[in-house]
Amino acid sequence: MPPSTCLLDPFTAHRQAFHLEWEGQDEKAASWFAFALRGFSRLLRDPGFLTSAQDRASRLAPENPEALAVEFMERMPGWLLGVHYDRSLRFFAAGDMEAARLHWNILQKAVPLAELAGGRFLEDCRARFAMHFLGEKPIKDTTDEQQRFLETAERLLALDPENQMARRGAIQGYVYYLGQGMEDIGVRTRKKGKKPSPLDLPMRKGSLLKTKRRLRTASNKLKRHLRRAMSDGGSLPAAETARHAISLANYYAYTERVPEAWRLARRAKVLAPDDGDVTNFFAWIKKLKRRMRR
Amino acid sequence: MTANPFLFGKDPYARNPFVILGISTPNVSPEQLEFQVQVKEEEVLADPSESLQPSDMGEAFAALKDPHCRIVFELMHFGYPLPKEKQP
Repeated sequence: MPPSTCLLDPFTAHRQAFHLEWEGQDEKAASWFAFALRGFSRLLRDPGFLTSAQDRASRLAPENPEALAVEFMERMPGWLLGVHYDRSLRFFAAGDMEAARLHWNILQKAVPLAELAGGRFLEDCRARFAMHFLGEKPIKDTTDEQQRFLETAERLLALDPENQMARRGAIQGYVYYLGQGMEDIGVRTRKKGKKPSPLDLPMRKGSLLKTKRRLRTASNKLKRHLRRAMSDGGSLPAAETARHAISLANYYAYTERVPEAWRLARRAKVLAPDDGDVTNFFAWIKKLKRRMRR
Repeated sequence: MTANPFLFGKDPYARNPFVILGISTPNVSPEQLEFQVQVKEEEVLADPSESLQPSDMGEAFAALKDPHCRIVFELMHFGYPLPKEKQP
């Protein structure tokens, strides 16, 4: 463990952290990294360190050493934190969640350094992380691809529950997945008088049960993400959250869970009272509920 | 956008270009550094050792060319604050 109080040069502490990491002592390395980052955040605020950087800059760029030293001071926090962003990203890609979480936690705890790197540094890291693994489109061509996308989004949220971009991707992905699944099992609403298409092949019983089970799991996960998005207040636009809530309520209604659908529709109505789709669904579920009472 | 000098190899302190190039004198000017690198490069090209390959030289030299990275490597290698120059 690093000493709790000492005047250790952060470079020396940092070097020790890299050395421990090289030896495979990840836990020890993490505490030395955190210790070094705290030291660096103090050092970067010390005017003496700027003078030292200027001394070195004057030998590299004698015409404008101040500008070079200032640029260096601006880049240093991003570089230091970038090590842990890079490590976390690589370990996540390799499936080593424990190591990825170790470096992500170091990044999250280095608040004073993140402030020096720019107010939105951590948010930018989150967005880049989500972009790297989820891409832009939450909707994929095949069911397998869609499932892989949702698994990655879940893993991202397990690493960092504050990653709003990953949560948004997960919600959109589950909504699409539920919609597709409902079409597959033929619970899609048909307009009055419209006959089923001859292309609507009946599903085998086993396959139907499997799909229903998958949809139930997906709906539970969607419910959890929506609840979190609603309680965060503002992490997702209210109208978007309301529309996704309606999609889940629609699934509840068609699986005969009307009271749950009604509760969700009411929350959606509060979130987006002027949204046409939300209003229509709310009116429809209200009627359905009354009819059930009779 | 410059490369992150802390991602220089698996251990940036062990892979510090000053360490790779075997330069242990602080306050090396860019001209002196270039000269020392050339001498070292010729040595390595003539007899590549297991620990030092020509590609290491190129990587180290490229890292030292970036002034921002070079400040970091100097601080890593020669410490903080700047060591005082020896009196003649």
